Amino acid sequence: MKNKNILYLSLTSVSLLLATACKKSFLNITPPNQVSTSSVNTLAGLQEILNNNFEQLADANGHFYPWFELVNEDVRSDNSFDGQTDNNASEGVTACDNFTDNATTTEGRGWSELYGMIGNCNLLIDVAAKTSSDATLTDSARNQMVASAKFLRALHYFNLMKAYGGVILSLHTYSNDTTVVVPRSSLADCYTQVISDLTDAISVLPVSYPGVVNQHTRATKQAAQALLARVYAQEGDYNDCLATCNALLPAAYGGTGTSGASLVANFADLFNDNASTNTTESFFEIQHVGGTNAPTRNFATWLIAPSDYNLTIPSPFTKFVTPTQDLVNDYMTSGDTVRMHGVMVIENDSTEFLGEPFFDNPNHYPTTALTQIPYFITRGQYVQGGTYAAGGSQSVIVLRLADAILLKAEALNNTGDPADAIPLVNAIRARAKLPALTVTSQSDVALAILHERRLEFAGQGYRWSDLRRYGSQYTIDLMNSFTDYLGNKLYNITANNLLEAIPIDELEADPVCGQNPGY
Amino acid sequence: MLKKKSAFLLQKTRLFFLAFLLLSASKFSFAQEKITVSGTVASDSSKPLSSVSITIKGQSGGTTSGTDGTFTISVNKGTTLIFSIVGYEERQIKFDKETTGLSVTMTSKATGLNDVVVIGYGTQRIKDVTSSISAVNLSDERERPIVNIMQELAGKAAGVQVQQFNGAPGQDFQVLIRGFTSLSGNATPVYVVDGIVGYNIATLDVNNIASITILKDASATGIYGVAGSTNGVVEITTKKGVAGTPRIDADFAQGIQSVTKILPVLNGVQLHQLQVDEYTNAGEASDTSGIRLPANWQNVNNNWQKLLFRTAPLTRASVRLSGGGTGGNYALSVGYLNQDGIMPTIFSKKLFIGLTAEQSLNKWFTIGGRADYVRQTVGNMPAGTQGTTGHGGGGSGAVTGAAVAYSPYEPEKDPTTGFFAVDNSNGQAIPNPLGQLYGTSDKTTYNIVNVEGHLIVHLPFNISYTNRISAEISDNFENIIQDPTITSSAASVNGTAVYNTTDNYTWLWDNILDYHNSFGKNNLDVIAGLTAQKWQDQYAETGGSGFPIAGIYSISSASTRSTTQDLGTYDRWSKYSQYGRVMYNYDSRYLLTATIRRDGSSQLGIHNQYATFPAGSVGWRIINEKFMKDQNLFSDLKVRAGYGETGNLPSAYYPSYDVLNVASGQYTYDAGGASYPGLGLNGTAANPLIKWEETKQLNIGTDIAFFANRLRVTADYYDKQTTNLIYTSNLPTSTGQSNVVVNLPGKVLNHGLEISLGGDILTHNAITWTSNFNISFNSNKIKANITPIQGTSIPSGTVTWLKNGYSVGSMFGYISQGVDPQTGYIKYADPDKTGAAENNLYLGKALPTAFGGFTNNLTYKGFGLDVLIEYAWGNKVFNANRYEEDGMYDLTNQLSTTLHRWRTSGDKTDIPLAILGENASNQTNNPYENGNDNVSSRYVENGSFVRLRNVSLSYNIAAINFVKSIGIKTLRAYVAGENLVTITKYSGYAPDLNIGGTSPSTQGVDFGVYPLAKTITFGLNVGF
Repeated sequence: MKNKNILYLSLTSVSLLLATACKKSFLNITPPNQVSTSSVNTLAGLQEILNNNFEQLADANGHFYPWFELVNEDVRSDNSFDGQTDNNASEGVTACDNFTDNATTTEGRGWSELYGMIGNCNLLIDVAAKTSSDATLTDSARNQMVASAKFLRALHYFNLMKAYGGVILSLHTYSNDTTVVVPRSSLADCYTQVISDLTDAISVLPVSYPGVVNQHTRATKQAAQALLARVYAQEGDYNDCLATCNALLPAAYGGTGTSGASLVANFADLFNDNASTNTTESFFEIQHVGGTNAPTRNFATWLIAPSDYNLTIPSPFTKFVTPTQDLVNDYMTSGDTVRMHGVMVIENDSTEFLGEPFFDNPNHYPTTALTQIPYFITRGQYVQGGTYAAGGSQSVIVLRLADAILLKAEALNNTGDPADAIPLVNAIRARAKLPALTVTSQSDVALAILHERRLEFAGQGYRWSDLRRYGSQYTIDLMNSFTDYLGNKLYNITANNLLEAIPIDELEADPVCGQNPGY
Repeated sequence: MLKKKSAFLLQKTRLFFLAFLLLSASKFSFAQEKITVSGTVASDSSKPLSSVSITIKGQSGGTTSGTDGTFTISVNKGTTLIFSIVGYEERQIKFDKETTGLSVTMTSKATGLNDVVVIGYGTQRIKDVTSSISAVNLSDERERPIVNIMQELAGKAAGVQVQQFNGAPGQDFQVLIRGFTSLSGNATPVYVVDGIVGYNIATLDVNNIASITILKDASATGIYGVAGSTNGVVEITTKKGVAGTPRIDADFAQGIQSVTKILPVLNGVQLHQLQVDEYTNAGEASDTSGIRLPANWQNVNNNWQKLLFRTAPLTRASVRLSGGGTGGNYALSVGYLNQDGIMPTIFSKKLFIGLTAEQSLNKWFTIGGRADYVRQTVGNMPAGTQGTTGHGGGGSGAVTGAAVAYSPYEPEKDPTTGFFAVDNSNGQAIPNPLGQLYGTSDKTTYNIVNVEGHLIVHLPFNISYTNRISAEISDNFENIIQDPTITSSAASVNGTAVYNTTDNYTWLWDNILDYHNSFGKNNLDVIAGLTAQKWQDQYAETGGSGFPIAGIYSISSASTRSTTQDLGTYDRWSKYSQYGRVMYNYDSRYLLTATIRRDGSSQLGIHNQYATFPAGSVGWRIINEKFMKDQNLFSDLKVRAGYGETGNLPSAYYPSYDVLNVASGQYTYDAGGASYPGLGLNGTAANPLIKWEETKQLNIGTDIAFFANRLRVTADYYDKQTTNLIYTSNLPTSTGQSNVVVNLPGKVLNHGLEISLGGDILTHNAITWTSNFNISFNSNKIKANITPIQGTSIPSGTVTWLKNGYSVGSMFGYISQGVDPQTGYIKYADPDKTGAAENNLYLGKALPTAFGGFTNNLTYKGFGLDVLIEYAWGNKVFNANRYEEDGMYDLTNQLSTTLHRWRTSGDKTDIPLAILGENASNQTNNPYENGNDNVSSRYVENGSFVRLRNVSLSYNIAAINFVKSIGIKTLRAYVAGENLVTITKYSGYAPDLNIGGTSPSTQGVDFGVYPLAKTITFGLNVGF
């Protein structure tokens, strides 16, 4: 080769380097085999994000819907208690049960769980808002997915508000210009946001998805309506609650709804793994796939079942949600064996157990009785040697018709129409083979509805909010009235205990967030 | 015409000479006559000098002398050759005709002020250096049982701390130059081999290294910018072929390694007494049913450490063929290194093949290249057998911990099953230390290829252009097999196997223009360059269990495939940089270096990918001033000062992108219907604004020589401030994300002083004694508002934290105030008078206050004696092993220190009472007296040490006439000892051990780490 040619060649290579390597794209390396937000604004990408939004409800690593909501609503109230024996392993649940919780006892509340899921709802909403180059992504498909995400976001926020009051309204995915040091929004603003999301969702979501068997796993119009009715009721807006119930309920209950829902004839079918999926009563449910290490198995069973079953997991993680003596007594004195056996199993079903006094502390009753205490089967019935030991498959019904019927009754009663409320309550009682109500006054009907809801929804994550909706002072007085079997007062709570403590992680990362009073 | 053009160019040098070249390069012609020069280089004591650098004045290219001092080089007529080597005066000889049999005598001058040292993208005479550079003396490196290049740096250079934190074969060392600067990144220096930045030194046979220079301050390292110059740069030059008769050099060494100490433990009778005490003090004297002694127990006394440790061979062999012809040289080397561990099943075998060649085509062009291949197989410590102690149970405890905890009265193997049995005899499942090693085979095979090719264009006016492309292809394959015939745990699942593999590929493209010239007393050296680099890495893992036939563990024969070990990754990054440097001096009296580097990296936020880092330094060689002419005290006197900025990268690869997680499960909306994988936020938010972490470094130094260079002193003071700290900041959970990587407006401060003293104590012809001593002080402090960053944890708590206001490597926990003579419990401090023992109190720092080395080289006729001593003081070690090994809260065997335990009221001792269950999770009611196993100052030990790192004695057999007469050019025999004696108060195996590796947050915790070995080696060097 001629020297000059080599020279030119080398100089050309310098120019090439300057020309090519200098181009900015040389340094712009996107994640080569990972998905980033820049590559998911397509029909399939949005579907995958939405799928994750639903998958998180059922995920075995998720904690809220399988059981944290039971801790917040049932364990904190008079329905159940933290019945496991190793206090070290469940500090958070014990603290939630005994009102000794604080910013560092995080288990059993779900702040980070719920915000994690909200973040993914926001992800879908934000990605969908960008212009997509995918021609197959139609506006209607996009709007339907955004509405589904808004429905789920409203559900998560509502659960946050029930536990913590006003919370931080985080409505977009975090980015550099997001201000994270922000105070919490007022409870009223939170309600406005949740109602806005649900109103949007109702206007877009379909009543049914064509060709889909598992209708109730998807966000439907009636699911959003059922949630909105609960939101209005909890807010105290019974007029809008009534209107929403009427739009949702079938004609049989005085409504104009077209979902075709009806009560299942046999109450126990709601919590029977073989019958609880895709019932006519369900508006929205979380379906689990059982089995060892199955990613969406329902692991709540082994958190709730008694430890003397031959579980493959360490025994301390059991009986976190154990029914109280008071609840059992309530079922017995109400003659409601249908629903008692529907929601719980009483080992030996013995009078020996039933003769024990009220307990709400595992240290306060004889340990010999441990094998005889009841346990909830609302998240799945444990079968010795069965697949539940590794992870159950029972569906979790989040929203169902019976709730909407009782909410309508409550709304009617609160808007001055107890007479029309009573038949609705009786419709629920009839399924439980209980006689019609005998009370007539507005205040008696209100108490009767509260009581009916306790029997209907025990072990399903309703009680604490129902009590608070009935009355703060009532809730405080009720809890303070309980004693252990030695006659010692169990609690001395104040209005501060009605809300839970904001977790320390949030307070440290956001100094202006502010703790709830009393913590 | 040439002169005229030269003058013209001179005026333009400050402008872009690249542009000039493009226009004018083709206009010249350079016909010149070639001549060959050959001969021998020898010292003033007639000793042939090998590795003498022979360069062509005013041009690149050159050669080095062979081990017998011979050289051949083809040059232009009228060329001046520069002969230089560390320790001797530089010589310049001009050649106007063919010359053979030339004898060049180099005058010994230990300072080597005219020596050339390798600096970034070039070389510089030592006397002109204005930055902080340490040259490592390698003259006798073959006479040490070195297995790792990093070992070569230990104790040799001020400011460079080398720590063998894990003694297992194949493990890297921690090389720390001037302290930790970053909270997030690693602190590893950049290795540059023959100009190739970021070269994988694992592929280099130690025998092929000619010189090592360490660049320490920003003025020296700044030119390397993006590669991580904040942590210092280690420049390695390899041996090249020499023109002339091809020659063969062979080295062979055989060594024996053994453990440096055995920890004293209780025998069976003493252990039984301890167990009874534990029950008695727990108030259970009447029921000691937990103690289960095997039949005949008093007659069995196994010392498990003695069963575990073995003497292990170390074999090193290498052959190098080298030579060259006119204007070219080559070297081909093959090396083999086989190091067995001092524990069974642990080993490292390495095969090196290296080839380098360079050829000047004509006066215009030189081409060259190198290829290094290494294949290494390492028998690793099985996972979970380090970094925990004996009580991990179920096969997960540390081997060294289990060797203490395993009951001395238990047999080596279960007599009925033949398995290495888990020691369940005393309530704790202690895995058999031998069973852990034999039961799990964890082997990694590495194949690494480094290749490089370059073209040098010698342009007119002392300008050269280098175009170099290099690449590294690095693959490894690891298999981890639990043999069902050795342990019951593997037998229960019929064996398990995990296979993982990595493929890594990097290419690097360098373009460098170099101009240097002298005008009267003005000397100028200018470089400008462009670099582009791309890296990619792919990883895959798979596993299974249940193998029907023992011995066949391929994944396809597994009856159960693992779902958790079924994964893979793929990552990439790229870098692009431009740089320039001017080195100027007037009469070697007034010295100036200025560099600038503009770096871009894909690992930064898309809005801040580029940053510019300037650096500069000045020097004044006072010795060259007229007023110094008449004094005899000083033979050199120079002061220098430099300042510069360097950058550090985040560890994240794609900080600008929100990477989404693929959900493990798919949510089926509809049975049998379409199902999509889920995509969700992964917890770490994107930060497209993330920018370089910056370190600003000031360096002030002096080089002084006295008494005709018999005594030499170099001292440097430095101050490093790291800002824009790359820090993982927690986000409020209400954002739906966990954290984001940000630039924190805080600082990490390092300042220190380094002093080197060198002396020629004896310079007699027959006997010489040269001595070098260095000491370095470094002080580190974090001044940044960070949430404490968790470091090394042990089961009872976290030991090390990075905290605002403290040094990197600080330990925190309870402060033990000794044993209460009344109760026998440890009393813990309560400085804030809270009424309870306080945790998270400062316990000390792992980084030494001072460290250094002391080398001595003696020669007497054909004999040579080298002694290397290294030392450190002021460093603390958390001996985490002891929280179990003298915690005395369960029934396992303990160290014999527990013989001094508190027994009865009034006993004054520093060892508490033995009490079953007395650990942190079972505290007594007294808040000051709890937990024998708390993270406390009780386990913080003084890690100061003085170590006889190396002693080697060699004899030059080639000095015997008979040997010469049979054609052998060089023949040396030696015996060397490595790591022979360590004087320290530290009670564990060695104060260097650290389970946390090289991360800033995990310094100074000895927790079941593989101990260091001492090695005795016999070796032979022969040259034909």
